[in-house]
Amino acid sequence: MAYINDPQPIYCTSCGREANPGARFCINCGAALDLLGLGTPGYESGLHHQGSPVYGKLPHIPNYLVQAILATICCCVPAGIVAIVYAAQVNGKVYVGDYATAQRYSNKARTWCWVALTLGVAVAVVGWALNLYIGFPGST
Amino acid sequence: MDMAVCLVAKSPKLSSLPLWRWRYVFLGLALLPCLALVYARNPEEPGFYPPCLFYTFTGLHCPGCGALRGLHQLLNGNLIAAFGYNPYAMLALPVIAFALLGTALSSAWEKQMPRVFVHHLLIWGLLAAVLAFWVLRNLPVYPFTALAP
Repeated sequence: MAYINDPQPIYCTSCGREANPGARFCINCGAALDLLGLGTPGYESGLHHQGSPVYGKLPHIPNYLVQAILATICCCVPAGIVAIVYAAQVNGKVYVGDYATAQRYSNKARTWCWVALTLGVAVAVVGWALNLYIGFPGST
Repeated sequence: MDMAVCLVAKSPKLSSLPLWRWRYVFLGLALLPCLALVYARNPEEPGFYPPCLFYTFTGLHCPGCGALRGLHQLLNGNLIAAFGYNPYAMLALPVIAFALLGTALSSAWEKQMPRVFVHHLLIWGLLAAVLAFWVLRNLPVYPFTALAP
């Protein structure tokens, strides 16, 4: 098990090359690095996670909370709300040491942030175009 | 290995561009002319900014309603007026600015910024607050009308 902040080297599970400290992807073959040690034996039994969680030692799994907040303000509120729900679940799972589930929620949070951005831009363009042709008074 | 992570890792090598690590710095710089525009043009005057479709069709104020008008007031130094338009957006602004700054600095100089781990109960609380804000600012009764933009 290797945490991101640990000094010991991480090796790419695809090609075996040693990764640079802090890298998320292998510089040789481009595969995502197994930063969380999910592929190492003993992960499911929790052997990698002895003792209480220490904040400085938590592996970084992005929860996209800031992007989600931004989405509730200026992109698309419903999608932003969904992204906040997933952000909360990411940190909840990280807190109890379930990094595999946290990573899955993290991916969902990222997806919903992109959905929010896409819908927000689409709605803004449609609104702008409608305003040009129809010209309705509205507030921004 | 997760499918999405693999796709990101093996997509064309945008990340090999020499200026790629400065992307968030460029994003921040690109925001400056936008801020200058919001500073100069008041959203209260109709016809310049596109209208909000959600408000036009529902007549409801969403949690982000008034954020642009608030930002205009903030850039012009009227802090109280800015909070009057959208207190949620004004409170979120420093968080967003801090996150962008941290991301930009850590990617440009490849130094890890100290990470803030937010307890999940705090995020659930934020969710409840945003939903409550959405409902309350649409109530046409006195103390809540102050939350409307």
